[in-house]
Amino acid sequence: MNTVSAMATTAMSPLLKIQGLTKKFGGVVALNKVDFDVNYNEVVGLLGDNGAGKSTLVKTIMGVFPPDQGEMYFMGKKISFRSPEEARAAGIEIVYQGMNLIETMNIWRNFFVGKEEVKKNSFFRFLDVSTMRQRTSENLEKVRVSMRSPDEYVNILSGGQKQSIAIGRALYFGAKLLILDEPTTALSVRETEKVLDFIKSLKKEGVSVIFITHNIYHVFDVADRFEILDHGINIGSLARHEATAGTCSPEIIMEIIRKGRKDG
Amino acid sequence: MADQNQPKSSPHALRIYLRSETVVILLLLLFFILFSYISSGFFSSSMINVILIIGSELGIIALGVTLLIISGEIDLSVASVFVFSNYVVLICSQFGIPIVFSFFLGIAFGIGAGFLNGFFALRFKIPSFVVTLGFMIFWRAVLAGLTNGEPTYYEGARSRFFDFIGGQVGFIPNQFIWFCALSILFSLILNRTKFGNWIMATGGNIQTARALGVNTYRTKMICFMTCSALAAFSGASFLVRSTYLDPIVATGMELEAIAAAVIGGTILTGGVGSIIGTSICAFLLKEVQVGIATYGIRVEYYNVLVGILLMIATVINNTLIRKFIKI
Repeated sequence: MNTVSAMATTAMSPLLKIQGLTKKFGGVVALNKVDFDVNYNEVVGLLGDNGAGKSTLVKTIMGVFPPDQGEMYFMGKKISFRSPEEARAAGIEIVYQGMNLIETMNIWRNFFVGKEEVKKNSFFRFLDVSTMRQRTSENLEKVRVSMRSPDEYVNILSGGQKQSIAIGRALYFGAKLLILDEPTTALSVRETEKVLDFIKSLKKEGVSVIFITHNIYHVFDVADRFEILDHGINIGSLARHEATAGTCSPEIIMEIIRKGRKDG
Repeated sequence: MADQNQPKSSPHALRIYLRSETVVILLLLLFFILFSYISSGFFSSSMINVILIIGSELGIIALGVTLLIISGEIDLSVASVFVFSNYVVLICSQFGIPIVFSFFLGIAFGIGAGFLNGFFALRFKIPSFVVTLGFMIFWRAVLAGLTNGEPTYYEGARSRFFDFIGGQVGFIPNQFIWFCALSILFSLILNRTKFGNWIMATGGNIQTARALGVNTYRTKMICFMTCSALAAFSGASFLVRSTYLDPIVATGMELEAIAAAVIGGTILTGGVGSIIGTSICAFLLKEVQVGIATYGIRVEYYNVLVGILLMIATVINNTLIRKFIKI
């Protein structure tokens, strides 16, 4: 389809490779032979109108739905997760809007839910609170929420801070591929900017990101590549470096989403 | 390194401690001073002894209820399990089983009753309020049928086990020592173990907890079983103390236990709670009950004060919680 990406593929197999993925719900074809790649250290914007198949695609990757046809490879290995837990164990993490932290717990407890550190060489296996607070504190610095103490409760944080902490937790526990589902939708303008800056910095951490949104202006400065879905079909793939040639801009992408096809 | 973080966290940490335990401790002291002043018979070792015994019996039940409420469920059947485990211990010892084994059979009954609560609530996704309301009526009615509603006395010999469970050290009853040990144990479990973290996560937001890999079914099931087991332990030790079974004893105690949890700072919607707050509050309630009785007010008025306390404590707790959430 695209010579540049074809050459890249032969040089190095991508982090996530999806070939001919099809998913039907009864008579409805939610995904129709979708090809989709994510390379190492790459931010991919996954765009499309409501009902285009964006969330079906990521839920199929995460093992929520079994695919009807098609193959998926992660780090060169064929994958077919049966649950999101398996996907997480393999290094794919999804961060949903506003559902990742438990509001009634403090930050360090939240950070380690399900993966608590216990004291070594201790008969009672008590929680290693000081280590967990320390690690959480370091991570808060890293995700630029450093003004918060790990003892504070989550429900006093802003939406952007929660989002950043959830992403930071995914990184801490070794995620290689982060799927961000509408990470900026409910945020204020200033918060959105902070979260977008933070997502840009993720590439330096050796993490790839699938950024799902229908707001092209949020993702345009952040993503390296844009994949556009419409009615379950991957209708377009644009790289941002095409922007200099004038063949890729937010307006062009909006036009593709609006018309449901890519011209030329 | 840890010291550097200390100043940042202290105001918020302080606010959390302000929330529940402090209010209850102040009320406990306030009523103690008040009743000592107005009621001549209140301030004596025998009255303190009574408060410690009945407070421990309520407190042991309330510990389990607190744990269960934090996990996001509720148990109305604890008082019925309490009195039915009386019956189990009694009937087992009448069949010639040594009292020690009868005692443990009583606790085993509690674990089974808790499993039934959890099984119906979790497997069939019925609200635990409904399931445990059903079992509350069920166990009490079965007991009324089996005993014809009449008290039965324990006729065996009083062995050393009786002193071990229900004896005294000075004017401190052994029940109180059991209670303190259990209170510390469950406080550590809640705040300092993985399982405690899972309880808080499950009660706080079950979907998120599940997504983060917590086995919420198992967590809630263990809470149900622990709750009923503690109620049965309290019931079995009540029989050993009193050596008779009255099928109407502990009527309404489930609500007292829930009141103790709520006044102590546990939130009924789950996720937040304090074992220490509950523990102190059990004694607060019983102190008020004994205080009223010694002052000469009809004991029926006890529940009036419980109701007022519940209102005051909930208003204070809610205000404090809202304050620390907003800042």
